[in-house]
Amino acid sequence: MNMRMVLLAAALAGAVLAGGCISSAPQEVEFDDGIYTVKSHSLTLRQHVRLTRRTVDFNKNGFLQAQIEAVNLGRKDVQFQYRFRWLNEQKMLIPAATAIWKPVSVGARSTEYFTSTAPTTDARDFFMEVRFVHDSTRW
Amino acid sequence: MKQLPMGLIAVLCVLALAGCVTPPRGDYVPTSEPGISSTAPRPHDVRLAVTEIVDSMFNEWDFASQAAGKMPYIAFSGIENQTPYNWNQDEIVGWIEESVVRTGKATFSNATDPNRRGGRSGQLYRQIDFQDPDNEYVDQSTAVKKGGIQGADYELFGRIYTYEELRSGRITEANYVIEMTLSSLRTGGTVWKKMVPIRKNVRR
Repeated sequence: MNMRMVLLAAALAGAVLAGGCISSAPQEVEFDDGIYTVKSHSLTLRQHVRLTRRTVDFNKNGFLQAQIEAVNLGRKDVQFQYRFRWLNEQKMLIPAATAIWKPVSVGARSTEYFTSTAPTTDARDFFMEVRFVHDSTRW
Repeated sequence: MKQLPMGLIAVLCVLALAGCVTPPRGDYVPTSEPGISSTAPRPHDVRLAVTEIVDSMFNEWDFASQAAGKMPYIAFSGIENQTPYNWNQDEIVGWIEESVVRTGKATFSNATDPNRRGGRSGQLYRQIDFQDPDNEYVDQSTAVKKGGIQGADYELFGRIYTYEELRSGRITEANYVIEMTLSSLRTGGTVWKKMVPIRKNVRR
């Protein structure tokens, strides 16, 4: 009985360990009709990276371009991943081969710009997803 | 005896929580760093590079055809691999082609692969030959006539090169550059070009 409990506890701890270190839940910041919608926490990610400005424009080919300005308020570099997702006029997600997570490191007390171009000319809106991940240090 | 499992459970739980709280022990990764799993090119490196290439193409090339009212046609003529690694060139072009075709603003020619007499699929010309007027199996009112294949306006080609890997302590640094060029077949001039550097710091 005791051995069973030990094995169960070890399995549980292993699952928690693996799950906690592989990835974190995504944090999303959405912009719709002039209003920021933050799905978790605030516009300041992890209390260090503040998203300060959002710029949108159509380029000469009719593709929507988006830029997010972020400032690292902390005294340490912050690493995370981001990706842009695009929505058409009906707010339907536009699939894109290039919608992949990109790693980024924002230097201490510095400003970084995240830019992306819509995959089609149908895109009318976007949102940027951010997630914090780190490689496991257990080998 | 009963205390042993509970103590072990407590220790394991503390270890589990500590694992989640411990900050990453990673090195500084520059903004353009794609992937840190291996010094060899990985699929994620390719996807990140292609993303930059497509972004650049959509912003800097004007999607113009050289014939009025015609969608621009692009012929892919190969990527020269100057690295010791096996890069899947078809994958690189596949991602670019998918992205470009999805825009509806340009397309790729499947008729111009110089290594296959049947086009990129190997069947293009055979399919057209099959529909010849003397083939009694084909309804000639639906048959494709010869002479309809559109010539390409542009040629897309590229090369990949690398630098010698550098080892410093437990860190190995690898550098690659993917270079893509779009050339006008009418004038031979470059209409768009993008060079994407890939730098990877891999801890041994």
